[in-house]
Amino acid sequence: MKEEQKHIEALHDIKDMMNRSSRFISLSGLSGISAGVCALAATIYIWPVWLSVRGKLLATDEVQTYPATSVQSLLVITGVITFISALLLALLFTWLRSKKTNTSIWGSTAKRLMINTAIPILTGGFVTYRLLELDLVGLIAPSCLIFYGLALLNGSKYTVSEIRWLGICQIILGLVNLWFIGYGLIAWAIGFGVLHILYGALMWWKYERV
Amino acid sequence: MNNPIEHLNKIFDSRIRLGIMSAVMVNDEVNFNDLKELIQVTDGNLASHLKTLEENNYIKVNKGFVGRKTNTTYAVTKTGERAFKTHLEALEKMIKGIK
Repeated sequence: MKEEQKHIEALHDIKDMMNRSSRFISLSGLSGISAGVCALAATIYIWPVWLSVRGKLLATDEVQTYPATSVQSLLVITGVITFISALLLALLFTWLRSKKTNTSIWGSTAKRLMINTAIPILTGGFVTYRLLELDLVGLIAPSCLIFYGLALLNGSKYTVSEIRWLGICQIILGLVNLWFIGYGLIAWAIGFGVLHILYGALMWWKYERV
Repeated sequence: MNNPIEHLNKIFDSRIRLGIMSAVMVNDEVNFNDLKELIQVTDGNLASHLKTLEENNYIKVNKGFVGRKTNTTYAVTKTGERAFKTHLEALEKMIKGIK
């Protein structure tokens, strides 16, 4: 009996060490929730602008070309501010968690996670920016969602594996949105807002609840 | 029927050595500081266990530099990989056997 216990413990140690050494496990569920709240706040802020732009688009039948530099810069600025504040809050909660799990926030697992999510995100950033320059406003939300989903999918190999499902949901949402141009902000709010909060709450419940 | 105990590797009796092997099995290479943080041991203790594994040809050492600082990384060898897998299988058999 005692022997058995010893071997089970050894196997448990091995599994734990393999996980800790290859994955960044300090990602906090609260990070997801805070990112989601940022996205929803941005959606509420941009909502009236979006309604008016969309109204004009539908009236003139020009689904994809709407040259309006002021609206564009407003979109870009809101997007960038949302991204940065979500990222900072996510880092804060993850940093707090890393103190509890006793892992450094800038170890080799964290670096690997960063690099592997940053590549698809930066690619997506360039593509999305170019779409905006070409006035293909309707494709911006789907492009954000798809590239973000791919980034999560790629990053899931280096952190908590559940994030894979969040990535897949974002990709599906983005793809669906490709055939429902004009509902971009709604898809954006569901993906970056609701899905983040759901995911964060689930993860917090599963791993961090005391 | 052969006895699974004979496949249990004495070298992996130590938790620290088992920890080192687990880490090098799932990573291309692991550096000294990461190992220290993962296993939570002192430099000297970790170094002596690494030495044992190296002497048994289970891990290979690669001394490099990051800027001016030395950066020593460790990777598993073919022998080490085989030994570790045999050890895992033996552990599994022991647990199944007792049940």
